[in-house]
This record gives sequence, structure tokens and C-alpha cells, in this order.
Amino acid sequence: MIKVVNLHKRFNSLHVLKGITTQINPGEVVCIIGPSGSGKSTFLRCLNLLEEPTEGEIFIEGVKITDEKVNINEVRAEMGMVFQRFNLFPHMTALQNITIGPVQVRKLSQEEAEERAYALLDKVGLREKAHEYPDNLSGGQQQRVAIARALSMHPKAMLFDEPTSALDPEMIKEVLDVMKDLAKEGMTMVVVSHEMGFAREVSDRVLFMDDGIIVEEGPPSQIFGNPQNERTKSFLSKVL
Amino acid sequence: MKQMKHSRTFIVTLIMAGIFLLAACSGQAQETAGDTAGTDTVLIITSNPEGAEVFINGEPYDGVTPLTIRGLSPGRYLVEVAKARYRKESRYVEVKPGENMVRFSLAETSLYYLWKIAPLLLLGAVMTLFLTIISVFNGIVIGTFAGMARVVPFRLLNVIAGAYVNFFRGTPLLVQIFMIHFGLPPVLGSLFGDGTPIPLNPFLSALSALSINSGAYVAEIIRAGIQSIDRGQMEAARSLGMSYWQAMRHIILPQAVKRVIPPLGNEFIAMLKDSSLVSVIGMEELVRKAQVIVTRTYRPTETWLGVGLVFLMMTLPFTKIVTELERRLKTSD
Repeated sequence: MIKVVNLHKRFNSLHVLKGITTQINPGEVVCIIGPSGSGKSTFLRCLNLLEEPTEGEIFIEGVKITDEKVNINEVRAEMGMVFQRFNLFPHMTALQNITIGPVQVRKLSQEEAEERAYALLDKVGLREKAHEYPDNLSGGQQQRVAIARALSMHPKAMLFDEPTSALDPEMIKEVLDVMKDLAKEGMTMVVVSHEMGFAREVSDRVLFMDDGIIVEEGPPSQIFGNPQNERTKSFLSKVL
Repeated sequence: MKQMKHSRTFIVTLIMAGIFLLAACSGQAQETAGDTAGTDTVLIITSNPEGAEVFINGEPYDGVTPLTIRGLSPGRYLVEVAKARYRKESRYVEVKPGENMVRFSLAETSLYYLWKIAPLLLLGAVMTLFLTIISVFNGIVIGTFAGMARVVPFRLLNVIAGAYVNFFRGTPLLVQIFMIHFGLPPVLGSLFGDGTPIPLNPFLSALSALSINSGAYVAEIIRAGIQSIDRGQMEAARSLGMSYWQAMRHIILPQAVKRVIPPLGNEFIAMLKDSSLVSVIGMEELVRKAQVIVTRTYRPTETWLGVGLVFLMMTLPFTKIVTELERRLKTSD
């Protein structure tokens, strides 16, 4: 469903991604792990073109999104994105945060969008917070609203950029639980995370990235149980 | 020692002689006064304004100006006139036999003077306020476009708006006023006329200069307001599939507006003060009014103090409002 071929990204002289090639299949949950500065987030952000790749190709369902003729907005609408720092719209209630995308982009009526939004709020367990502003929600609640917001577009895949890194420990579980439910429903997910437990338990495949390349990839049992590469071993020995 | 004693005696003698002489003189004066009483010594005291009380040698005299006093003996008199809300004036008058005229022109006390010129100053203040409101309003319209033009991802717009902002923030407002009022007429003349300069009326020049200048400052406020919104907001909006303009309109601008209101208030206060510069091209606002008053009354001290107070009357409430707005917006942010 997502195919990445020889992806490079440079920020001026900084070479962040040095040729990434991989494929993500429908319904697959892929976790990307690796030390900070390894290019995990940049790779994820390239997938919905928040970062413009310097070189290489990305295909989503056969459509080459790195092509200049492609409508970026349509591509992004199909890819839900969840950010480390939630990035909820502070001037809108939880409900409005979830309806704005469908209403503005999908041209849904306000009623339809709200119906959909309430269903999503039920799913993340926050219906009673529909009319609260983000400032009045805890970090965990904000991130769950942010997940609901991304889901409101009915995306084909969900991208998570360190979704629990900005959360207090006691709130991490509620967010991971929502993500596990999503995985069970068969959502295609790409997750950049430091949550090794989640990666081991939920993911179908783990990519270990270091210094702009995928050093090692494979099922979690292999990556965590029997890593082949020295760098993978040394990283895991530090975080586990 | 001996010499000192001698000189002291001399001084004492001199003083005593003086007193004697004085007494003799006044005795003589009284005598002559008695001689000519009721004949032809007249002292006429007038004052502008009329109706002032009169004191002769410190003693109150019955009646108010204009006043004709008969029966004074010739001599030197201290004439004083006093009227409420005016400064007391006194003068030594050498009264000679015949008709004597004294004219007093009374100056208002500072407070009364201020009270008298207040209507004129307030009229000027209304003009200042009017100019400022219109200019800042225009400035907000111009500045919103220019400010957005600085942040949108179009290189040409960035450059044009940047040049505009830098030019009008980097040159003195006074120079801009001159450029428009004196620099533009020849250009207009050669473009739209027969080559002779087309003069601009001061109001038009003032309004254009202030509006364009204000626009540059507002543009910076708007740019800063937009850029102060966390990058993640734009990213979150774009990743929902919104276009740049949708994200601007629904996500960025509504948040930026709140942050922009207090600095816009400050811009208004700054413009209120800077608008005084248009007095140099004869625009009759507060400062120009004061200049005109001073040339008429010769009282610069109170006049300019009054101008300062009127400005303060306008700026202080706005400063308060801005502070209050800042406080409220901070709590709801």
C-alpha cells in the first residue's frame, strides 16, 4: 500500500535520510525505532509530504505522490497524522477539532460530520469532553482527540509521530490502548515510537533506523529476540 | 578704630537728613494737593478686560475699571488692578496736573488661560483623533495584506511586501510626509497634467502619509502574529488535507487575531502621537492649533503644557484598554 524507493532527504548540508527503501502492506502495523536523530520522524513526515523528499519515490496505492502533478491535499487527506505534541486547534472544542477536516476538505454537512465525530469520540472514550477546549483536557485526552481528528478523514493509513513521548507516564496507556484497538480493526499504521512494549506486542514488523538508513527490519520477535546487527543490539541493550 | 567710629556717625547723620527731607517733601505735596483739589488733576484707569478692582498705594479704591479718579494731588502712586481669574498688575504712575491715563492689559491666570484655549485644543484633538482613527483603519487594511504577503509561500509577494515594510519603517515619518506633500505634486503634474505641479491638500497628504506608514507597522504586527502560531498548527491542518488558504483562514488567522489585538492598540497610541508631525504641512490638528494659538497669545508655556495634557487624556485611556486586553487575552490563551 505504501512503497518507498531510495528516499533521500537533505536539510541544506545535513543528510538526514540516506536512501530508504521499504514497503508497508495494507493492514500492517509497522513500528519504527531507533536513536534520536536517526531520521525516523523525518521519514514518517515524508510519507504525507510534510517534508518534501530531496530524492526518491513514494507510492501510495500505486500513485506516485512525489510527482509534482499530484494534489498534495488529496494525498494528505488519505493519511491520518498524529503528532508528538498533539497539535490540536486550541480555538476549537474537541468536537470542532474533529469536524473541521470533514467539513472543509470532504465537504460533509455539519450534521454528518458531527455524527461521525461523536462516534469517534465514543471510540476514544471522550464523548463527554466533546465541548471542552483542548486546554481543559489532559495530555492523554488531547492525544486521543487528536487520534479521533485524524480518523475523521477515514484515512487509508495512520502515521504516528512519537504519540506518547510528550505524555506523563500514567497517560501513556490510554493512548496506546486506543492505538491497539485501531490495529485490531486492521488499520494500516506506521508508528514512530520509543514504546518498545507496544512495538513488541502490537506491530507486525519493526524497522530499526540509525543514521538515515534502515539498519534492520523484521518481525518483532526477531528484532527484539534475536537482533542481527551490532547497532541494533547496542541500541536495544540501552532501551530495554 | 577711630576712623570707623567717624564713618558710622556720618552714615547715621545722612539717614536722619534723608528722613527729614522726605517728611518735608510729603508735607509739601499734601499742601499742593490741598491747593489744587477739585481743579484739574484726573487719573483715568482702564483695563482690558474691564471690571477690575483698583488699589492705590495698596489701599482699595471704591469702584472698578474703567475708573476716573479726581482730586488726587500730583505725585507718584502705586496703581494696582486686580480681577478674579486674571493676574494682578501694578505700576508706578507719575500723576501730573491735568488728565492722566493708565491702561492695563490683564493676563489670564494660567488655569483660566488653559480653560479659555481648551475648546480650541479639543477641536484640534478631535482632528488628531479623526486622522489617527482613519489612518490606523487604513493601516490595518493595508497591513493585513502586506503582512500576509510577507508570509505566504510566494517569493514575489514576499519581496514586494518586504520592500514596502522596510522602506516605510526605515525612513522618518516626517520625510514620508514631505515626500508625499511636496515630492508628489510635480510627479502628478507630469503624469496627469500639463507639467505644472498639482498641489495636494494637506488633509489628503497627511492621511495618505499616515495610512501608508501605519500600514507598514501593522504589516509587521500581522506577520509576527501569524508566525507566532506554532508550526504544528499549520502541519496539523495540512495533514488533514486542508489547502494552505483553508488552514490560514480556519486555523492560523483566528488564533493570530487574538495575539495581534494588543500590539494594534499600541500602534494606535503611537500613531496618535506621531500624527502631530503632519502639523508641518499645515494640517490643523492639535499641534498646529497650538502653534497658531501661541503666535496670537505669546503664552507658549501653558499652551504646550495644555497640548501635552490633551494628548495624555487621549493616550492614557487607550493604554489602560490595551493593558486590560492583554491581561484578558493572556488568561484565555
